[in-house]
Formats: sequence, C-alpha cells, structure tokens
Amino acid sequence: MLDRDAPIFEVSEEIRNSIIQVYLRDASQSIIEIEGGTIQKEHEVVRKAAHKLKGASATLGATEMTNICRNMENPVMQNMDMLHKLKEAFKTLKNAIA
Amino acid sequence: MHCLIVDDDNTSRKVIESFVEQSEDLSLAGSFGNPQKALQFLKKNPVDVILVDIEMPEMSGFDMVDSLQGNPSVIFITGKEKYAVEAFDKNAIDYLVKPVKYDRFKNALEKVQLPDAVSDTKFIFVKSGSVLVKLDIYDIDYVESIGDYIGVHVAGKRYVVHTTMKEAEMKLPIDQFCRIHRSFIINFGRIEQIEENTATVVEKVLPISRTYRKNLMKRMNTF
Repeated sequence: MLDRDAPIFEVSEEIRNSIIQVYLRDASQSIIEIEGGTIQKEHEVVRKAAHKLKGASATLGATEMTNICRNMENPVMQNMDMLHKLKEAFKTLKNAIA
Repeated sequence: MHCLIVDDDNTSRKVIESFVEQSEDLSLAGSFGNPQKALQFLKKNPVDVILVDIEMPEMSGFDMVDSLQGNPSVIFITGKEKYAVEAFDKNAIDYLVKPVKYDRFKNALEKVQLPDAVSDTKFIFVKSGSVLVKLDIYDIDYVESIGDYIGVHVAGKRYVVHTTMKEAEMKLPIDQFCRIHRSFIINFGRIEQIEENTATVVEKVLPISRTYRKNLMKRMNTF
C-alpha cells in the first residue's frame, strides 16, 4: 500500500507510526476542505488543500493519494468524480495502515 | 549547526525533524507550521540554516525569507519545481522537491558554509601542551606542515597544532596569508625577499613550489 522507497521508511518504526497518525488526522481535514471547495467551486481552496495533501502523501509513499491530489491541483480536474476517487483512496489507505 | 524547519504540512515536517535528529552535525532549534511564529522565534534565537516550504497559507516561504533578519542559510523544501529560479534568486543554498529522501537532505546541508569564525576576529587560539594560547593572527610569521600537525611560527616560537594545512589555510585571512608550498603558508607582511624559488620570511628561507608561485606573484605588489 505504501511505497517503501518513500522518506517515511527512512525514519525509525516508532517515529514512522506516530507520523502515520499525524498524516491520517491531517488528511481527513484536508479532504473536508477539498470536498467543501469542490462543492462550492472554490478552485483556490481546493488547489491549496490538494497541494498540501499531495506533499504529505508523497512523503508517506501513498502513491494513489499523491496522484489524485496532483490532479486536483488543476481546476479542470476539480470535480465530484475526482473527489469520490480521493475519498475511496483514503478509505483504502486508512484500512491498510491505521 | 542549528537549524529551523518551517512547513505547514505536519507529515513532511515531522520527517525532516527526524532527519535532523539522525544527523550528528545538526541540532533542531525549532520547528514551525506557521512562518510568522517562526519569524518571532528567530528574533531571539538565531540559527545557521532554515529549511522552509514555499506554499504556506499564512505567509509564503519567499515572503518569510524576505523578512529575515541576520543572514542564515536557506534551503527551500517544496512540492513544486516551478519556484526554483526565484528560490535561487533569493540566494537559496539548495532547493529540494518533496518527497525528500535522507541522502538528498544531507547533500543539501553539506552545502551550508558557516561563517568563518576568524573573519570576525583577529585572534586565534592554538593549543600548546595543555593550555590554549591566544595569538594575534597578524603576528603569525608562517605556518609549516609537520606530518599530521602544523607548526605555527610567531616571533621565533613554534606552536604545534594537530590539524591540516587545508584547515589552517581556511582559517587564516586570505588577504594576509598565502600558500607558497604544500608545506608552507606565509604572512605577506613578513616577507623580506623573494627569489626564483624561495621566499625569505623573518630570516627563514622557505621554498616556493611551481604550483603556488603563479598565485603568489599575482598577489605581490611589484614595480
């Protein structure tokens, strides 16, 4: 589920586990912002939240989340279909690593 | 080397914090998600290097760097490549694109050069036996290599120090000292005479090697 070549695998297991908890908490918040921005068509809100979540996901090695967030930085890709993909990817990730 | 991390993304920030802890030559002075709080902290706690994100909600990393007092080294860590030119315009030491791996992080930190302590002072301390002797840099006549040690010659005395010629060369002010041989660094002010392949410094005749002669002659004030 996580790319083992990611930076998170270069820290100790104890720290990694604590960082994963931080990620899950922050990602939930970012997804709420992305959802609100997508519904309201506030492109800059979505872009900023997606950008932040993209960086965190890449650091964690959550490749699918990273790719979806990268797409959602682009206003053209900010739609309900992409939001649904993001939420599904997060749900799968959470089940795998939480 | 004291460093400060500024990134609104907690996950990336925590990983960089861990990288700092893994690095023996680094100590974490502070870590902030908010650049304005980081600026407040820096007013009372100067650091050697700042690792800063660019896109942050309260203030961009560029604006933060523009507001810095003092002259810490800056390394940008960001999710996009497009800011690189502006980053280097702001004299960034390096520009890291997330996700940042430990080797790349270390490589960036190795580029940070701390200000030379000697440049702010005209004194240097050398260990003589069990005591540290304070020397006026401009009183040094010349420095010679002695195996794994160097000999610092001052007013007829020699202080033997465990260091390299390269280290000594870096610590001595470049406008006053010149390497003339792999085994000798001389004080310009103490040169009495220069011949084809030798320099006389306080009555001591020292060799000038072909490698260093050109540079020495370029720096000499001759008719």
